[in-house]
Amino acid sequence: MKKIKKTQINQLFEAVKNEYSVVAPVIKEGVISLDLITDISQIPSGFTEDEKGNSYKVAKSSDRFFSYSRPYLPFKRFIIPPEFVFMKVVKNDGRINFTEVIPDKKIALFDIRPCDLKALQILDDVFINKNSHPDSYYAKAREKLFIVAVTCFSPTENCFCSSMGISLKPEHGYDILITELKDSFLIRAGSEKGSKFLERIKAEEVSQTDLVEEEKTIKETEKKINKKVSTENLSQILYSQIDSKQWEKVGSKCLACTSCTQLCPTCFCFNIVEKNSTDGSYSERIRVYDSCFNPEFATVHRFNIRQSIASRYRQWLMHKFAYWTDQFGSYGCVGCGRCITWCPAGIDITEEIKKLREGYDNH
Amino acid sequence: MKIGVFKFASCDGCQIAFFEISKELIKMDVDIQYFLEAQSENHFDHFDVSFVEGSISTPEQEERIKQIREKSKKVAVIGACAVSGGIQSVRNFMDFFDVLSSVYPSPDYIKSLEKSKPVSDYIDVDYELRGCPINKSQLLEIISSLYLGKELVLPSYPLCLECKIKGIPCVLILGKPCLGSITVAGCGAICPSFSRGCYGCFGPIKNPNIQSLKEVFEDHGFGDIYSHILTGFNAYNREFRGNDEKD
Ligand code: SF4
Ligand code: SF4
Ligand code: SF4
Ligand code: SF4
Ligand code: SF4
Repeated sequence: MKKIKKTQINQLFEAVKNEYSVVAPVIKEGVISLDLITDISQIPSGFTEDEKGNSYKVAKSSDRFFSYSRPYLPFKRFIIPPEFVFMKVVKNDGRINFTEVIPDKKIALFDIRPCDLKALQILDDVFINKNSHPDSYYAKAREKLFIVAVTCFSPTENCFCSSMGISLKPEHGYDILITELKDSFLIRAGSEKGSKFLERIKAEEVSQTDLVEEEKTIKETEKKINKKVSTENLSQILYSQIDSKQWEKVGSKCLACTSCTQLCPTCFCFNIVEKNSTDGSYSERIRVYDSCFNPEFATVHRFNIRQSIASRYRQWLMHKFAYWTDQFGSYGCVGCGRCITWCPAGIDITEEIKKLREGYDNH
Repeated sequence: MKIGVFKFASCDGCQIAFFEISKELIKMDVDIQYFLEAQSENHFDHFDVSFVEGSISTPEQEERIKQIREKSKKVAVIGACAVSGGIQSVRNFMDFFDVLSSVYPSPDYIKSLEKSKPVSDYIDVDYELRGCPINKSQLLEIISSLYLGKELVLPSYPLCLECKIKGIPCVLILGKPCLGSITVAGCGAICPSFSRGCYGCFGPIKNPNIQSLKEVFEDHGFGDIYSHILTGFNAYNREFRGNDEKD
């Protein structure tokens, strides 16, 4: 662990940029979003989101460097893009040739918060570790990632990561971890790759006072996270509520717009479509994000097993908090709160869980 | 492949898409038999696929569309007029004779049906291309699918999915009225990508949650705008017209 001056963050950024394309939070279209950046000044320092229920505002309000929260878009978009060609098919002299498209970009995720870092580990389980047919595209893209995590001192009102067992300062899963103190940054390496970068930066020793300040800030921030989900026995309780009246109620409100699944950092569903040249000599196989709210999602042999919006909402909530535990041994939610902020119908998944739990308690 | 392109009550705008994909059309072995806007020699004989623009608004059109059906293996309706009745279908919600006499000084000379209706109210339709106007890539997709004999896949999901795939922040949450959640995708989320709300030119998804979105608009304090924007190009779509008029 080392300590650097605030002005030295640029050196760290440049060192990473020399080897990787850097993806980081930026202000775009009026929100804190995510994009490739080439200069540290593109980071929205000093801005903070105000997320209440499903309202969103950004304002200049703080002098901290990492003043904002997790970005609007999830990082998964830069590992498995929303839409990409993964196979090219060419017909030539009666033969059909298939060429797999392999991701070749070395990407650094700069400033990923603990919730999104955990989401990445969940996706690793989904696509590689707990998958009997590991996803070769994901695996390749993942290998090339460099991860700069940041201890989170700026939760929004919709964040409930602590309920999902996530600490504001991650323990592992990063190459470099940055913690912002009042006058400096603490930098930890979490991998060999990370250590090499730190060696190149002239740094100071960390003092006991710094660690006390770090600990104190974490404690203070934890107190700001007011949204909670009780996860005790949760999947069992949800299974018992599979026929609850609550699904119809929330189904009448839900627009089945798919936004929650698209912004959720762990939702992984995709569809495969084919685009042909008009002479039939060439085609591209394209992988594109899908959603269990898509009306066609559960259509099997022309019969749709989830026609009602209620049944689709149930799939989403049950997958995140019940089925996921059977499939992958963890919840499929990291408490980032994006689905709450960006739900046009104002549905709050934590409130829905509360109501289902009440249904169980009152039984 | 023999193609016909026909126009009914409409602005001719959707047919323009054929000119936009003309380079691709030339590469395919398609024989355009009938297309008044594009050629002077036309044959009304037999069609593998007929594309129909425009709503059915006069008694002659009612007859003509039935003839087209008889002569065509497949019928594809293109654009909001043919799919839903078009902007002219707002008259369906008013008194017909009031409308007629407010437009024409001598309404007796006008032969018009009381309602402007979608083509599917008169004949069976095989494919629907949405939009006001349609999207040219979707038009090419329909033609090349028929040509190559592959299954046609057009989106049935709401615009919001297309919007999120593009990474556009929800304009509704940012305070603008948007019909994206009840409108079918396919345009490429044009309006939200310019920070504007969707006004639904692609028409409704199947079983849209109209009531909930209405309440969302009210909660945002958008006033009575909801019913106004629904009374547009797709006002007479089956998903929107009154329940008593579904058939
Ligand atoms: S969910 Fe937790 S880690 Fe993520 S932004 Fe909110 S407070 Fe930070
Ligand atoms: S379910 Fe909602 S809160 Fe949980 S990870 Fe997904 S978007 Fe975040
Ligand atoms: S919640 Fe829906 S979209 Fe997300 S991973 Fe599960 S099934 Fe897929
Ligand atoms: S964001 Fe809200 S309205 Fe849209 S599908 Fe999710 S829960 Fe339903
Ligand atoms: S965003 Fe809506 S109104 Fe705009 S072009 Fe697309 S469907 Fe039409």
